[in-house]
Amino acid sequence: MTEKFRAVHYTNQFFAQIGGEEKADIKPFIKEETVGPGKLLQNFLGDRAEIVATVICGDTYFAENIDAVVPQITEIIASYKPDFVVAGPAFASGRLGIACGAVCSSVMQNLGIPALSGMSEENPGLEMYRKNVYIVQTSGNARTMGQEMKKIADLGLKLAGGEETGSPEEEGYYARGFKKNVFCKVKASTRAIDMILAKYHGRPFTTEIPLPKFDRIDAAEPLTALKDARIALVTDGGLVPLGNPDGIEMASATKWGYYSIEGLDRLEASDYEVVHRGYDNTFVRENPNRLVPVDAMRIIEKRGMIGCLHHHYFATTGLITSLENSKRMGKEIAEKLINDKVNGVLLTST
Amino acid sequence: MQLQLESMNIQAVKFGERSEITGRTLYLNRGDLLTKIHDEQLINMDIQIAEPGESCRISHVGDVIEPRVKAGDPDSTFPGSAGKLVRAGDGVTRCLKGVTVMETYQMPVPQYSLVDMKGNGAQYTVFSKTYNIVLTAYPAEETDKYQYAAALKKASLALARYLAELSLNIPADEINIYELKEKPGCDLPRVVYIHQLFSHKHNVEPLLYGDDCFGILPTLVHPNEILDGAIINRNYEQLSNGEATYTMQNHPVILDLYARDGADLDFAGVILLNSSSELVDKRRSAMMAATQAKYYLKADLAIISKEGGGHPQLDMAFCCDYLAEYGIKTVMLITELMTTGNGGANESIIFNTPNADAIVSTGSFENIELDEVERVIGGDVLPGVNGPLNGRIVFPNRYIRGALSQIGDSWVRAVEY
Repeated sequence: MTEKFRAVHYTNQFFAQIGGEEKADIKPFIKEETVGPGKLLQNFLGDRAEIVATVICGDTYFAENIDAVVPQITEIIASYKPDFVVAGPAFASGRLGIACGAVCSSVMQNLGIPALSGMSEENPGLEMYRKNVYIVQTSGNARTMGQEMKKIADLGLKLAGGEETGSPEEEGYYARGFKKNVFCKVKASTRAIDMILAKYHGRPFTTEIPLPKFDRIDAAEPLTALKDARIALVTDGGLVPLGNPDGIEMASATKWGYYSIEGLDRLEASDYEVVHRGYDNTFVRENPNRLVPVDAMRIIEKRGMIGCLHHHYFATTGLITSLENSKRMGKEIAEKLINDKVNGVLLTST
Repeated sequence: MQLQLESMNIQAVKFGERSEITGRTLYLNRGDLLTKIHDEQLINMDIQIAEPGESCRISHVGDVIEPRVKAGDPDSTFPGSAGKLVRAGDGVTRCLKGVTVMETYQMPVPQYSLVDMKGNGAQYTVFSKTYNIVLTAYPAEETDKYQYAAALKKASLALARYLAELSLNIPADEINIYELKEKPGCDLPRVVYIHQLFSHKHNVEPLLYGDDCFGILPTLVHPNEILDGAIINRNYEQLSNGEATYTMQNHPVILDLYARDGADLDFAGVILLNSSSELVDKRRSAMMAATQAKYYLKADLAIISKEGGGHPQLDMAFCCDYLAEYGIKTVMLITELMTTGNGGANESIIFNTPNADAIVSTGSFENIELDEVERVIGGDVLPGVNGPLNGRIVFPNRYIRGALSQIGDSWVRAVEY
């Protein structure tokens, strides 16, 4: 690989040494040379790549005009035909972090050119963009930039050359949230014994699966006037109308459905099917009311214990559903419930 | 209790005029063997051979069993499940290495397994390296799935025993002795192995001496009992969640603990529990297991594994907590449930007790590209597979028999990138 790669560097008014906050409103412009941290980046790139241009934009201008600025900057970058783009590093700087993420993301998506950045762990741009963009780990400020810039340079060259990247630990970037299986030299049982002995002896060890962080969500206030309340039935047991009209998946669901029970005193087995594959659904298929208790709710409704049973029930499959999709679907269902003026939910699961 | 495992390394398997072992070649007389394992509830029974490196795909794979026989009393092989009820784990057991009896399961189930002997898929399974004696049998008329499963299991265990019997008068290639010895004055850390079975209904059950274990509470067993056929797999309906009998017979954690017993650890013993569906039952089992580990096994450390899917992870988490109360440190073996390529590290496990700070991955679900093969045994059509079964197909690794093992015979782990 003797060809020299072309790179474009993006940064803000501060790192470009134009000014501080007072210059944060400058519009994007180009310098056909290295600027600020770009000089350090060029040192590490050596003669394997040349930074042919630096695009500079004020943080405030970017934030306030993001919809117009991102395509504009993307076009500017395109005109230089780079093999890769480096944005930042942004360190802890939030506005710059978001700008770097947006620029990289756009360049990758619209130009198909690899792009990377560097941010500290607290930078809001990290969570927003880490899935799509390689973001190298940096500290909160530019004091340790030397080592970090080298990692950015090395990773940039790999991406430009289409080389396979190493693990997040090896390359120094934040894991982007994907997984793949790799073959190990030592089988799992042996690794388990090694790990427990390390733990016993107080030697350092690294768990192979870190514990999840669950959000703490406060429960809603209890219903005070049940007899006036509109109650909806929601289930993750995967009960759907025969034919599964919305194509809800049998596991790892990404969709939920909303099905009318208007005028029904009970659910009839012949009208429904169960898509959820994680439990023995014999009893639910025999009598769907066991999962979505329309029959019992109608009795309760007639007795006046609740205001009314909502005219639709909600369903999805709760089997190996990703946290992300669970959260999204929960929010979407909640929004619909609020729109429908539902006061309370009976949530059934298996 | 001392198990003397005498192994013969089989290097070839062929059909022949007589069932016998000559040199290190195992000859099978098909008719003879089929007669021996005949059962009225099974029809159209056949035996075929699949060789390592052969362009062959075995479909509808059920359980896989290593041929073994109790040398002194062959009728007591696989006690309770097939043989008469005697204690497993003591005395001489003969074993054929490099060979398996591989069942195919010929009734409708939600998921089917396969094994490829060659091509991209072969590297993922240990069974591509063994000569697999594939048993295919169909249910007779009016045989329901429980009767079929029971009959198939008896037939395959019988076949495994008869094959091992052929080695009885031939000197073994290797002898391994398994014994938990008293170690007075030993100050090595004592390690207990805790295994959670998953047994809630027939055909989704491991059998312990022939018992389905549905309602068992934590049970102390000797590791030799597991090595010597006390636990048999009869899980045909959630194949990816149950451990093959072969893997139990060659239990990786137990063998590793034995290998290091007296060197860097003191192997204290084994506790079996069943995963429960109710939280209170999970807690009860975990609590009692911890007491057994502490007071009867005097454990310092515990290794925990499971069968089943996501639910049993909660049982493991409770075990960690109750063991931690006694100062017993733990490590868990867990298969990651999320398919590679989507989701992140947070998606793999459904508990987050800080006591579960040491977890070893037994791999993550992923889709494997399987190459075209010349020969397919065991079935013609797999639901969910479009096109001919001998063609190139993309198949989930969890349904490749022998690819992921929740008890630690796994060589892949998921890494985040």
